[in-house]
Amino acid sequence: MRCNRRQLLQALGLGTASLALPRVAFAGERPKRLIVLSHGHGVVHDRWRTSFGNPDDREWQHDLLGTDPSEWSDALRPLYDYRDRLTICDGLSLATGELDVPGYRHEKGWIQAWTGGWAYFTGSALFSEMPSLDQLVARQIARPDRLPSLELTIDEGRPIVHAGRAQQLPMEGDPAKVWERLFGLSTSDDPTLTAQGSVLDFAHREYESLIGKISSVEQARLGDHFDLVRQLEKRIAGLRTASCEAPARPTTASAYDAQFTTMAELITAAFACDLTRVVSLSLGDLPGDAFGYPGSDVHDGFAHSLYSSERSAIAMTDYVAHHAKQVAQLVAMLEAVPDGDGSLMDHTLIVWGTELGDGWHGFERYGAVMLGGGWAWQTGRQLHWPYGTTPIEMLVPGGYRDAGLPHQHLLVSAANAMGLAVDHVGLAEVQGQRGDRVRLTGGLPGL
Amino acid sequence: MNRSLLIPLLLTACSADEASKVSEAPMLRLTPSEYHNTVRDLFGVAIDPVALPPDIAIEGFEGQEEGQIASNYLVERYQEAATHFSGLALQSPYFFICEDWEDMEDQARADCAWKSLQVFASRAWRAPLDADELTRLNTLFSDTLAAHGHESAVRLTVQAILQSPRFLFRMEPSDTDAASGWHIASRLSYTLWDTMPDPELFAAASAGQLETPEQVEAQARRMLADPRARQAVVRFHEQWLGLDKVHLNNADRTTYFPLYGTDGNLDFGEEHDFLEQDAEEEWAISLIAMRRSMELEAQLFVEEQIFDGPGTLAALLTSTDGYASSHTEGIYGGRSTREGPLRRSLNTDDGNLSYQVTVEPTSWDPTQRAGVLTLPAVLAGNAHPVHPAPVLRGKWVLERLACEALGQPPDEAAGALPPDVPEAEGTNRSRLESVTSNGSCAVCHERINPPGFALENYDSLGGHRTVDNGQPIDASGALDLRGGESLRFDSAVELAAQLATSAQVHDCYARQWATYALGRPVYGEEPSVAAIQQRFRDSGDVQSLLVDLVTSDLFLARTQETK
Repeated sequence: MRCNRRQLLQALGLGTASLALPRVAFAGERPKRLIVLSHGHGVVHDRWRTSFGNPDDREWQHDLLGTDPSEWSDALRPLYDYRDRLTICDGLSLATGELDVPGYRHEKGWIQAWTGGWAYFTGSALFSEMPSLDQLVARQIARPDRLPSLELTIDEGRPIVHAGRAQQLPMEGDPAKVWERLFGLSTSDDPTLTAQGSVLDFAHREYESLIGKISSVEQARLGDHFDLVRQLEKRIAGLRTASCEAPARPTTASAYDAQFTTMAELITAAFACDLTRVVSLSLGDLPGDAFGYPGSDVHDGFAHSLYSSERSAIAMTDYVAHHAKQVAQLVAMLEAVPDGDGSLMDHTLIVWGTELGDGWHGFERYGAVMLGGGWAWQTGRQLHWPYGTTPIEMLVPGGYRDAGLPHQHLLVSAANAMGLAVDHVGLAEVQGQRGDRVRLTGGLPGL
Repeated sequence: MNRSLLIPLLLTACSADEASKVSEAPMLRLTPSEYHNTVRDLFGVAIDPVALPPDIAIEGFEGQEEGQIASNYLVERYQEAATHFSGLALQSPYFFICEDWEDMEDQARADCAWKSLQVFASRAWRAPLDADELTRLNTLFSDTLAAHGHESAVRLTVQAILQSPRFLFRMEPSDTDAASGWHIASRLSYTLWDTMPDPELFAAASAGQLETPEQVEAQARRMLADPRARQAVVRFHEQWLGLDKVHLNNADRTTYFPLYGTDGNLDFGEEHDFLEQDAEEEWAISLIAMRRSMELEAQLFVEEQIFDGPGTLAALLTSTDGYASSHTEGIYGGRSTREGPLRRSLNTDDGNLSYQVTVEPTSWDPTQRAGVLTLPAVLAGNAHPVHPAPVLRGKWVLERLACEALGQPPDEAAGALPPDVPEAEGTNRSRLESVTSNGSCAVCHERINPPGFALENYDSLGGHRTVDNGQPIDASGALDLRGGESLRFDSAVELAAQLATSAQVHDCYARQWATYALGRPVYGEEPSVAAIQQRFRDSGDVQSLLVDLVTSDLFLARTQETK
């Protein structure tokens, strides 16, 4: 079911009067936007994908447009209405996660999933060695006078955003604070916020006053630093003067779905006002009652016992399906806002992945879909690559099996779509446990 | 004209015909720990650290000019940190120099705030402000006061001070009237304490009592007796030894759980079937506690030897006064406790993971262990999952203890290494010898392998062993150091004893301290370095080395112009 824009926004409580609808507040060529969306505990792979009658042991593509919803998996059926925008990636593994530090499967999973690189263990915590996809893209497409990226979470999702080695970026879970960051500077009268320009300007002038008194080497070093301070000042000034119809300041909701809706509204408004072009949204664990299992805990109740309990497998599928409904909701909101000749969604790529292959902490079967990106490839397809083809041994119930297509290729395709001329994201090559070299360069085969 | 000729220099080696000179001491940014320690001392309150990006380690050390990169992320964190910490001004017990600031009438309140901010700024910038600086600061304060009121004006001015170059960077601008004593005070405090100068150091700087090496020495000795010195000196050794690498140890579960594993502490609930990956998760958690314990043991070992023990590099290399906890006693083959000065516990409980580590003094078997070379933190930090890594360990001895740089291995080297699997032919030593003894490999490996093989008596977690794959371990070897010393040994304990009397090892340690203190690579060819090294060879005393270093021309020289 698709809503028209007004119905949708009313349903979401964004407002009833047309004045309150987000409007795209800038002209010219439509910028591309990226949303990285990640949930916890992976998928139940055989209940997440459908073969549409194709063989598992060969590479194939299936046109989703002519399919019937009854053919779709329970997990992904909520996205059926948006199948023309979909690219289902069936056959990926988080293969290199198996080669990383032992244990820490959640942690290295959420690092590997979005950086394509190794975890970096320092002190008592795992960080990333490398920047995540969203940060690579933000560096390329950010407006100098706006936020390069926005890091959001619902209910304490995993830390999936990394600016570089051991630079894990914090994620904001409070919609009121997100609103503050987006619209606060243009609406606030708190001087410790609004007067940041004069604070940074002071610091910059102190630097200028030192120029004649320090060596040229020192001038160059301070110059690098305080050029960035000037840029920060510009971003703050840009946000302060951004002309935009800010949505009402959200109150902090407690229910998971309400939180998601509010965050999705904020993302839509941020894109409509061009306050940022890159968003990461990390979804924390759904409470049981949000997806029909009152009183249950996803992690301890279902995720681990995926392969030993039918009920757990069904529950984890319902869990993923609930996230699919949320993704559909976000797509609907982006479709509802006109942008150039089309809608915001026409100029947005959503990459929806997860931190693990499955709730059993396996990395072998990784479920990821993309929505949008129609300017870069033909959407409306499911792509399948057979498992057991990459010589990296993956832990599975009862032993080890060779991996499917390493997920780095997905990251490369997404990066290329966003304008990055790269042939790898994170690792370019690894060595499997048996000594085989595995190349990780290039986008998804057949995309 | 070279500006350096116009200012009084303590540097004796300066010659007029040099148009350009490398800085003796480059301008350094506060490291994250220095930043937090400084904010804590500025406000006099305990603080929760904010996330600041770490320096990139150069020669294994933070706080090196080359490893301090500017990034968007960094300046944003600084801006957020300054905004966050500026609120402490209103809570600090001694930020305001007057009583009852909040209850004063407006003009008196503004006067007090301005005076307080001047004091704060000179402490934060670690030297008095000149007239222009005061004028600019006053303009900011007055403008923000007029626009936003007292509290906001104080906070905003504090934010500005904390984001200015003279706070974030240890700067020594060359035309300040202030005596170089201010700069010496900062160098001393950040080298020996990892934080800003205390009131006594500031007073000495202000009174011109940091002008002579004798005056500096008196301060340095006072500072070394302060607990802050222990923390800072241990921090150097963490980096010297590469202790953070222990956290990358990924000892193989099937090999090492039977030796050192403890019963699990994970609660999966009653209905949960115990699965293969649960066992892996449990082993991972045991490893976390073991690694943290090893790290803490190494820290206490160093602290005791330098501050409570003989105080020499030789003692660091040979002492058998160790530490252990319940997590590591298996690795040591038991716990032989002793009376010792130090004991420390840490509790970790972040909801998902909880463990307690209590480390207490123990005595090592002197036939099995001696000094830092045999610390499990060092051994486990240089190991493959199944077998110990003689190449990594040998490289570590040569580079960290003997300052013999090896560079990166050729591309094909990694592929040539025997696979690290439990079922293998012969011994770890024989397998490595067979692939490194020929042709181009031998050139480096005839130097790397002997010190690595000397440590073959220690498995991948640092536990002592005498047999490898059913065969007795051969830890004997010979190593001719580039400086000319010849080492001949049958065990790690013998190697340690010979390293402890090596002039090259003493020179190396002194050079690394100089690098750490100056924030740039220091080489033994520099005359003032050679003199420090010579004296350290004679004394062997670490605290004397530090005093010698901070009273040297090298350390006391003003930054040179490079225009």
